[in-house]
Amino acid sequence: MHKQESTWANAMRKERVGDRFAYEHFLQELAAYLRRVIRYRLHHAGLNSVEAEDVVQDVLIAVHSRRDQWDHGRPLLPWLNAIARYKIIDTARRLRKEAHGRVDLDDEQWSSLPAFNQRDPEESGIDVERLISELPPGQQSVVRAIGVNGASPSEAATELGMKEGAVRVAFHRALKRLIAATKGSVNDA
Amino acid sequence: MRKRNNEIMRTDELIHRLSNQAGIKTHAAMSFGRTVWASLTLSTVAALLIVIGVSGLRPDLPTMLTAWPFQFKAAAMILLAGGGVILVRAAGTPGMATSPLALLPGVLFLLAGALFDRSGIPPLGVRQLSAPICVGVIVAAALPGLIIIQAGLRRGIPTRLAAAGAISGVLSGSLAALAYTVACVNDGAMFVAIWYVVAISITTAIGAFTGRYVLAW
Repeated sequence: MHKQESTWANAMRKERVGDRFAYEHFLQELAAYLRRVIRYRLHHAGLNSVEAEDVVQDVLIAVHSRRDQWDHGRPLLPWLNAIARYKIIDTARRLRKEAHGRVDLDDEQWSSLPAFNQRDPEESGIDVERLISELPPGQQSVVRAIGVNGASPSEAATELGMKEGAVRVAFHRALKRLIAATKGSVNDA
Repeated sequence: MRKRNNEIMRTDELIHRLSNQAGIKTHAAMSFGRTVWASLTLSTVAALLIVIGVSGLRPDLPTMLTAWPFQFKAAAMILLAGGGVILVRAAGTPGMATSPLALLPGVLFLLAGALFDRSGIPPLGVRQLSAPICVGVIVAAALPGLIIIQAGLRRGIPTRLAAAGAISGVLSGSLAALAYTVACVNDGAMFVAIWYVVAISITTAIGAFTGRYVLAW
């Protein structure tokens, strides 16, 4: 993309002499470009649009904080792409690790979840089975395996023929849905 | 006009804030290029101190300085270190093409020396513990340099951390091996080609491991 290289490189040079309008325009174009790249690259990692936008912002901040280190004699696009690639992988790894951690609830957290509160399922008026059966099929089987049958994520993965990481992500999403659904039910009751 | 999501609007606000800082001069103490040279100087000095402290200078050093076996070792390590510097500069510059071919001159030089080695010195060295001592001292002497060079890399923008870490291991290892030539009494090219390379491989592996954590930003 010869034109993009020269346009953007010019904007970065103008930034060094204080042209904030050229720089802002460049950042907008860069953000749009990154958004496309990130949505494509992280689609299979299961990031939603808010998380994808977090990555876009991380890359913009990284480029901005190091903008004075770009050698004006060298091409800009490889420089930008290398930084973007690093930040995308880094942020995706961090988000996956956070989702990974969130799935491992201890017993206290378990019983505090309204949908799985064993003490008074009748009184809460929440039909756990109905809520589970309203989940998409993939999430359903994961929730039954882990939440109802008490399997560990790796056991569930073997049972369902999925990767353990995919099981954790699916379980995390199912929990979010169930919690949102039970909050709605509690408000209605 | 397409409706913009909340999160995209937050990015718009971020961009607006960032553009307010256009033109601000950041006071970089030293450029990355100069940092690399400073790092390698400090690393060599540190390695020399350790080599001299642990092994001591070889007794025949004054006479050996003009002899081929010593010059072969030094030249080989200088060639490797030279390749290492090129690679370290590339590792700290996003988008700069880098190729392990930079190490080829050093490797070929070592190989040629080993193939044409007529010294008769056995590959395991002149003493029983020559090989492990050589490897051990070089690796130990390389460790401060590894830290210094990785600290220097942080002044740049490393984008492939394990590779950058490995490269810093190559450079610190070859500088330590260069320092070791003033102590090493094993003058066989085959010995050098094997054991100096073993030591540098170890520092490369250590560097690759530490790089993932030290070089993250």
